[in-house]
Amino acid sequence: MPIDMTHIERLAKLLETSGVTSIEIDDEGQSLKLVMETSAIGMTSSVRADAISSSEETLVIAKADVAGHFLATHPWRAKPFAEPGQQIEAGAIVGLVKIGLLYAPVLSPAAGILDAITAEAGAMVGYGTPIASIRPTAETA
Amino acid sequence: MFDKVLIANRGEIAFRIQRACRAMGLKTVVVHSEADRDARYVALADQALCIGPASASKTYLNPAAILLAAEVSGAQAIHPGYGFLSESAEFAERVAQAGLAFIGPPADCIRTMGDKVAAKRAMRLAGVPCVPGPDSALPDDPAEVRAIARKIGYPVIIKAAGGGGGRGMRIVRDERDLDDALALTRAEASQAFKNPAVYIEKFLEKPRHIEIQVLCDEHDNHLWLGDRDCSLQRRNQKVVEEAPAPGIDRALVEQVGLSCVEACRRIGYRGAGTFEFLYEDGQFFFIEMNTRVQVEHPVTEMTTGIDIVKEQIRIARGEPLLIAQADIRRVGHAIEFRINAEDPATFAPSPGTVTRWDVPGGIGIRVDTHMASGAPVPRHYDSLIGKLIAHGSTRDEALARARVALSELRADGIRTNVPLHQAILADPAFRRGGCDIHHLEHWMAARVAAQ
Repeated sequence: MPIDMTHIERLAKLLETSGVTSIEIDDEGQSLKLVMETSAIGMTSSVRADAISSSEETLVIAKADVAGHFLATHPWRAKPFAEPGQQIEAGAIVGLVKIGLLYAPVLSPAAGILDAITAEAGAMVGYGTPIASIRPTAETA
Repeated sequence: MFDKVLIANRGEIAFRIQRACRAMGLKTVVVHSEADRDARYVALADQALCIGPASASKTYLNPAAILLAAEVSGAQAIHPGYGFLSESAEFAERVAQAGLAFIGPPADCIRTMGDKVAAKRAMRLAGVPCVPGPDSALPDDPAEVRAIARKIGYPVIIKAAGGGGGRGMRIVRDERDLDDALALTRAEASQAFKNPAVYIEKFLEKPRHIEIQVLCDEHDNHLWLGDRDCSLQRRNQKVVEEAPAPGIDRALVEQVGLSCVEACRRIGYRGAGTFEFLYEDGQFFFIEMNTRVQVEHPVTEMTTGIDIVKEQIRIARGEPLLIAQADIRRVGHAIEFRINAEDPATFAPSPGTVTRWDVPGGIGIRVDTHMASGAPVPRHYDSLIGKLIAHGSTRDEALARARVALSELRADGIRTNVPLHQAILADPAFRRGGCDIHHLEHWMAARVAAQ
């Protein structure tokens, strides 16, 4: 039986409620792997006050690379991908751009502390539209 | 029926299409590159979407980015303008498959006309006069090709079936050079146009470039609007265009116009289109059809009063043309000067920022441009920044108005070819009218030699 979107959505919800971190299914030449994001969002909000020490000009900007509607939160989840004050890795997802049935991730260009999500949820964004500002972690000299 | 149009182009034609849409009460979606972010028509759009960096291949030539932008914006129709994807049958097909209206002809018409051999065959069948030569691709055997060339008579020209617009062709004046020219053109054709087929035609020595504008709807209405003379060219690029073509028997033009209409009926053409001809010794010879709106469409609009872009959109909405052939009146004379951001002597592109932009005006003057004071001229695209169109009751009146208008036009911060146009206006041969397609290059070479 082919795997369709509703199956994936149901599986993802099951994993989340049951606390399972990943599942892999192989069936008639199709394979599906779901990995839940385990980073505990919200825990890091207290970091924010410490992070604001560095100067304004060090902010790096995560930009959209495709035109679409911006989402700060995955449509199946309640919490945003990243919140201000949170420590994020280079390449971490800070939001999605929705183009019809497609979702394209917006990635952080550097590791650091998320300063702000500057794009408005639901707004139409284009190539190069600033999505989030990140205060990069100082290079360990 | 659509009410939101995505404009998949840039520059003056994007602005031209937007004006037509807005006058019709349609919403416009402008897709643009990062380099065109500050363009006037971007600011005037109901929705503007940046779809990529400056490179045309990532934006204006990128069907996926354009179709995704249509999905995101909710546009129901796409106007391709000219150049870029306007003559891509594949793009027209993908637009239709996405459930959107393509403001242009059906994909199969674009495909037929894109293959110059198939186009020639279709035109012959419809009774359109063609350049002497077979309407089939050349055989592989060089001996057979020699026989065909001898029958046509030298000089001949070998052309790529997938070429057009002056690309992929080679003149042969002597049989000794035929084999080499054939092999070279074949190799180029398969590389540049992904179609190795080549064909052969009589080479005309001193032709003029005359074209016929048509307009067809899906209700079996087929019109020809008029003729244009686009003989003033440099490296196959048109520089000055006018309507009507001076000094050609009107009864003959009428006859050719009607044969174009017949061709449209036979191939099921829809939308605006242009049949291009060479004209020599009182005879017309079809060379190719352009299945889109052309840069020089305004000279026909000025003499007929018909808004060609508006009609394109109405046709794509499935509406019938409200004009009958007998109602078309061609009044006076119109002439268009392409204003390019380039050095008037070396033709090197001159990108930059326009620091001051004074636009000419007055009776009979029309300027189609996306320029303004402070506007950028990106280096990534062609150098056309506007078109100055002058209309008068006679050719002389149109030329006089053009002369004044060119002197009023002021563009600081970049160089333009306005001085070249002013010199052309002073050229006695041009003033007489009826120059052939080599005149401009010969005249420029003579000026350089005299200096």
